[in-house]
Amino acid sequence: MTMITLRGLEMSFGSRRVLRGLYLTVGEGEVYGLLGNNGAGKSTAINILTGLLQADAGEALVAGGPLTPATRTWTGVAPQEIALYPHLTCRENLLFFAGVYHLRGSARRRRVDDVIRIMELGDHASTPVAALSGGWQRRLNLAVAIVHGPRVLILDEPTAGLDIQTRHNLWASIRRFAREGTSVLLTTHMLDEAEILCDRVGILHAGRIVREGTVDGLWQSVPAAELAEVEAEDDEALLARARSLRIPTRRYGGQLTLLLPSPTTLAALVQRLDGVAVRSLRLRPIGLTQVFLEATRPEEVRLEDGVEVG
Amino acid sequence: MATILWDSLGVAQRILLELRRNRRLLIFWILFPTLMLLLFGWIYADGFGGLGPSFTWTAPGILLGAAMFFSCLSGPVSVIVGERERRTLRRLLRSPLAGSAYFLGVVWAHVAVAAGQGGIVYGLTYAFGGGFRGSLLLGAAIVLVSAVSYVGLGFYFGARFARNTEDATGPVAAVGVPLLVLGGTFFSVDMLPGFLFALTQVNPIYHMNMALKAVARDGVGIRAISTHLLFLGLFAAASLALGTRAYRRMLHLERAD
Repeated sequence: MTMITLRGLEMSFGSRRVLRGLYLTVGEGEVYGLLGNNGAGKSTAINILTGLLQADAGEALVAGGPLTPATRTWTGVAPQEIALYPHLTCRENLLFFAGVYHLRGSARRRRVDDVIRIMELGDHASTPVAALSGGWQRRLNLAVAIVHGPRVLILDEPTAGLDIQTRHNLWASIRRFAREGTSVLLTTHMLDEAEILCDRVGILHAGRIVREGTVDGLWQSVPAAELAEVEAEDDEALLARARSLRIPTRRYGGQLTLLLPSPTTLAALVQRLDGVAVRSLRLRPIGLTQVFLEATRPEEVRLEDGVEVG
Repeated sequence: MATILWDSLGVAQRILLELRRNRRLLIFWILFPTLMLLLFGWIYADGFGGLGPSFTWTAPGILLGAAMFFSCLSGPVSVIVGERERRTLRRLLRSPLAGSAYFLGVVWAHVAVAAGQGGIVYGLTYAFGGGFRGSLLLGAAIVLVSAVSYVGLGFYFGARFARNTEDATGPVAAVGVPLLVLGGTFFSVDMLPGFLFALTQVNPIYHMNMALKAVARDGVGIRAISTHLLFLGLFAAASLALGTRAYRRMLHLERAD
């Protein structure tokens, strides 16, 4: 069953068009990662989906219908910012938000106890939020989003600013929710997070999805079998050599990269680059980073012969 | 309806819990009316022929003006500003919590605070030989309508003018303190010159004070204060409408933020 549907969303703020026809779906128990640079429109999409904003055009559906007070009761949202009551303890925050989502009496207390256990907040349950570290606050921020047992979970950059250990712990929690049938839509600009967590990924660029699929499937969209990062004495000489070998070239963040059509060895590559003074050479497999960079390259540097110099 | 009521009680409980944790504000809300009552009780003791009558005369103004003015007017401003600063308002907007339940919760919380302050003010009044001569129920009704008026105005100021804590105090002080002075909170309005006395007739704090003083000191019934009650009722309704409108406007802006 499709739990989240964004269909043709369009949104402008003044003359700035943020979303230009955004389509995506998230199935039951699926983790969908919405990737994009800052300002790509990820948070705007989330704000429309959760009812904070009204789209100029298109529709956002939860379980096939528009967001209503009833569907809000089984939709959980963890905003990007920590949104908690600092003078209240973890347990008191959870009890309050459980009440907001219409859990009452012993059911509310039992559920809060469960969430404290699931999110491993037991040692901090009676600690005021203001006294917690950023990592624990973010963990509670997520706990609040699941306190009412939502079927749809929307996470806006859930691990931003966290240390590696805490990020891994939160990823484990998110994977557990998905295994239990919760549909998760998360936004992130951390590609390792998407690679590890997501069943499917959509890359949002200039207001629309420019690539979508499983992480493995997306790798196929990069026109190469392997990458070679090269530092040459003379970039022009390297580019000329690559052009003569018909090897597509990219400059990812200033780093010249050869998109090799088939796997090779360092020795074989050095031999093929004969005549070019190479300072360093590194072979690396294709990852989501390259998929992302390929998908979000500015139009003006996509050259017809596949050799990019800009 | 039951859901809104339950949800509003949850909101009120949360506000009161936060207040209990934020001891400095609570102590201020207790200390300020206590000191003002003691001060004015002693100042007017000679004029009223003893501490008892002086405290009886002073207590209503101190409760409605000094105590509830700060708790029930500034309190909602702080609540709204706090929700915006901590981004919890946006979180609540994404939840099934109805705006009316939130609004009502803020009213309940501050009515509870007013009740506590009433207990302190009248506890001291009785301790110094004063009292409350009229109907306690009528007195409670005046306090309730006054609290609702203040909370409505607090919503208006909080939603309309305050984006952060610094913004919150200015409008309340600028508009509110002159109203206190012109409302007979600290001294009798009989001392005012004619044109200022005329202004008191449209000052809600004047009507709060006069109504509660008449009940507490003279023991009058509802008929004797009907004009004051009518004005207060209309003012409470208007301030709620004003507060609701400002709050809705703020939510609209908050969504787009």
